[in-house]
Amino acid sequence: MADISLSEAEKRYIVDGVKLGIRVDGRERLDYRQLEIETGLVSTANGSARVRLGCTDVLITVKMEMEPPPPQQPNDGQIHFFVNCSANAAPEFEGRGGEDLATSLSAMLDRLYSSPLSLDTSRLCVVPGKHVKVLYVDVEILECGGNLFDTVSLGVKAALWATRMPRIYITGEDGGELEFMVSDNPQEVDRVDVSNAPILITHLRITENLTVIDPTPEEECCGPVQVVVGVTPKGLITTTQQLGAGTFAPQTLSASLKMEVCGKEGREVMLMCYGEKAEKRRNKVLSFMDRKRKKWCLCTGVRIGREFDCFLSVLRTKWVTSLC
Amino acid sequence: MGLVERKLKVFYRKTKKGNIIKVVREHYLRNDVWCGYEGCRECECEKPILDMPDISDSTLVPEPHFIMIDTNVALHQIDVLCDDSITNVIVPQTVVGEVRHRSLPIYKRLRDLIETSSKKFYVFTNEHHNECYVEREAEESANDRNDRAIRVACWWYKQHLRLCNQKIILLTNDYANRDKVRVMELEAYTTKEYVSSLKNRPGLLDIVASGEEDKGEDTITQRCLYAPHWSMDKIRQSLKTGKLRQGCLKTSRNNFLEANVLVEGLDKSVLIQGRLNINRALNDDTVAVELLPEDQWCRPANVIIDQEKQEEENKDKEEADEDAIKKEDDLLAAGQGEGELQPTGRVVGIIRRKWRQYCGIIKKNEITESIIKSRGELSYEQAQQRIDDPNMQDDLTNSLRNLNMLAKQLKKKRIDAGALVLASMEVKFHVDPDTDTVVDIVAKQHLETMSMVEEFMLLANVTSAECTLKHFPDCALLRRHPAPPHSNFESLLVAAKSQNIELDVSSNKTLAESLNNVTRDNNPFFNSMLRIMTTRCMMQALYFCSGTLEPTEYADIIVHRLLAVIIEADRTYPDLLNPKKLADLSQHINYRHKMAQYAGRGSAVITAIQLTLYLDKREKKKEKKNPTKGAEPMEVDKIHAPEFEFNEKELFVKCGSVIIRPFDHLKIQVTVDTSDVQHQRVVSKLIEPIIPGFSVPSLKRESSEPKETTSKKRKK
Repeated sequence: MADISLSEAEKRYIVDGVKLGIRVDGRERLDYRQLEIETGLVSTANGSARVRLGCTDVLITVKMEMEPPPPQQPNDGQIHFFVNCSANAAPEFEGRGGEDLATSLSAMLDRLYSSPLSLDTSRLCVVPGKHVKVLYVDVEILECGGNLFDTVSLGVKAALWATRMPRIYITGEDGGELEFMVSDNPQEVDRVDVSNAPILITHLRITENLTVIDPTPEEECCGPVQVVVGVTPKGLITTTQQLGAGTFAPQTLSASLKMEVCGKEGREVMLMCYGEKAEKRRNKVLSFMDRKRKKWCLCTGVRIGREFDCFLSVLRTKWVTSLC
Repeated sequence: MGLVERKLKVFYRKTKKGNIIKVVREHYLRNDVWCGYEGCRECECEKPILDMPDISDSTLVPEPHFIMIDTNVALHQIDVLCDDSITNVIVPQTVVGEVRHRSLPIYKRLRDLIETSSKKFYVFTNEHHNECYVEREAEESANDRNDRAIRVACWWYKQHLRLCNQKIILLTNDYANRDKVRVMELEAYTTKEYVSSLKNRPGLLDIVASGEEDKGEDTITQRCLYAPHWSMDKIRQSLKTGKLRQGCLKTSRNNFLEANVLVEGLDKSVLIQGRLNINRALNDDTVAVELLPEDQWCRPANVIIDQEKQEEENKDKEEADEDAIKKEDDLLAAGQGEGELQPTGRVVGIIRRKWRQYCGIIKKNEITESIIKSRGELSYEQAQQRIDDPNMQDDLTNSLRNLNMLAKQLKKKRIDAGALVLASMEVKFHVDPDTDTVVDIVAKQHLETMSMVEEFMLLANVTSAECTLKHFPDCALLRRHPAPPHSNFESLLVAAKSQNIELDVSSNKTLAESLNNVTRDNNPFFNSMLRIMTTRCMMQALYFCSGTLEPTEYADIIVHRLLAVIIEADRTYPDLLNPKKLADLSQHINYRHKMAQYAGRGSAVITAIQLTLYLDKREKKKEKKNPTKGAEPMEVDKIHAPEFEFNEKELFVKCGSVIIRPFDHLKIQVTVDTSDVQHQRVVSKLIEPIIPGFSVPSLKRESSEPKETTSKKRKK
């Protein structure tokens, strides 16, 4: 995505390294870079999150509005995604340069959340056919350092998790129409259930039978083709998409996913988010990776203890073998 | 010193459209909010407001002290606070905010107190004080939070004033709050407790509003006798779903506690019994009715219950409304007749009031609230017959005669004052009810009773106009006919001149007189014709701000509202009394009125076409009387005319030897030209006088139409 020129020798260096199981920054093939998630930083929004994955930096805000539902879905709330690629993130985004990427990102997010199995929109309904909650998710790309899809999907999940919607009471009926009222207590809020919300995991093909996850911009130059997979914590694949022009041998893909991602080790990606109190001290956000336990702890937990149990979800990437 | 912390105040608000917005406000906390006491060495207050008297008047608090007030004290005991003896009061900002939110008049009084320097009221901005600011807790209501903020402020003062050996007490009317304050080892009293302890101000206790303590503030129980009417929206919705029925309410003639509603789709009318079920609806109102379940259906009572009689009987006993109603219900139950059960219901709302001329009864030009009691319904003709028939000597007829006499006097007075009598002929179509065809067309007769009603309507108008003008010199809504400019009369004068008539148009009165003098023996219609023409010269009535009934209903409503205010049956609202708004409204009414008149004139043509069509269908091209109507001056079709000369000066049309002047007798034939279906026209053709090549032969047998036809003819 980012426009980086590498010499043949540099590319060779990266590719040969991956073949030997060593990446330029010292990671293994299926390692993520350091991840930081901050939530609740935009006070005027209902929910917000900022995610940094390596050099990639995205800001996500969620705003709630009350709208009439479309007639064909009178009982469902809605979720809309809008992605803006700021020209600050990459020079080529200037003008309308980022539009294509932004459209493909928002289309991907739409697909990711289109299933009721990933987000139950019926819980956003207030008065059937009249008033439903509509969540507007705005994604701002602040810096583009590779693996944008994964970062954005993590950010969206975190922002939805952090979303606080004022509690709404049905107060009565006027002329056959239900009337509602907003709780006057700002602390009385409803949350969005994100326990089944999926994230995206991108695999970059480096050579015929080898893929890496969370590629850096340099690595992205070496492999022309990537596959993006949307998966829920329960291991349900909700969407897949191929990026870039190139062939992706099915056997290679499925074999490598099966063996390396969910294989015998049952590698887990644990996705955690800090609780209420940690949120208040977001200036002290940390993150860590627990390599020894072969777990990816994506967290900003300032304190490990009571508050730490507030986590987003435990995500097991059990890849379905019948992917191809 | 200065800014210490920034807080965010977050709350959610529902907009009118139903959207929910999150409002985030920045809130700054400071450490330089001073206590306002001049003897304080801690604070760097530039203009301290509070000083300390040496002695205390109170037996409850013997030492000199400051008073901090709670919101409910400011809201309910503002009179006490206004007393001169109450000084050195600390008003927390929280209280000021709450008072402003709850009651603007009291807020204004509180502000005035704060402005008065002798009262020494100090507003303590506790909300911005970094030690006094409290954040609302999860399970806390906004009220509880404010109470806590006041307590914290009081506590802060106590600690602060301890340094200079001063004391603070909190006045509150809320026992719960008072006890909570005492738990914090602060002194707190209710207003009553405190005021009754003041030695030198015994009279002050009298203005302490009593009964406010302990009770919640909003427990004023309202006793509603009648069930409230449903909202229009709800009625509309329920009518759609069939839950309600609508119809016209007819109160029973022999039982004022019973009414019937004629509902479409039901064989029988719906019976409504009892004052509560009728629910303030009056005869002829269009009401929404809820049917009761079938086991509650009733038979109409067969007794006569007269309202006046009932009222007279009850006059001496001061009965509660409920008792009276119960008694009435008993009366109804006792009179339960025999016969079939009738669908029974209750009125839940009034869709449209039948607006009667509720201008009130006019006694010595005074307006009072009254309900018109109808003694009977009479058409103009029926009333006229009663008046004319010397054999009728009943009360009703005699009162009609009296009214008529009064009307005549009123009319005379009006005419003497220069009122102009103008004419506008109306035609009436006699329609055969079975076949829906027009049988005959006659000019509408002018009956005495018509002018009788007219006189009283005028009187009501004039009276209400005078009355509103007197009470609301700025904003009464009035109507006037502007004096027409002289140019308007030119065509009339020329026409009159051709008949050797001079009209004096310099004023209402002169015009009225000169019109009265003009008669033609050979033409009984002549005077009317002239008056019709005069009407056309007049200006349209203009509504202007500073009432009347008649055409524009909205003007009516405004005037009725003003009248209601005068007799104190209603309250005003700001827009009603805003002269500019009313002036704008008058403009709008004028515009609408003019448009309505255009529409009316337009429809006259359409009616003519339709009627001619009727006749046309019946008997092809029947010659009929030209509806003089004062409507469209029928034009002479010039195209086929052999040679017409039009003399503009003397206003006549000449063709060969035939000269046609205004007001000449003509016989014309009116037909509808249907050759162009898109644009059907009324075509009139000349029959008499005969102009070769132009006039047409009469289609009618002369014998069947003996009447002479008159028409005014003008040049195109």
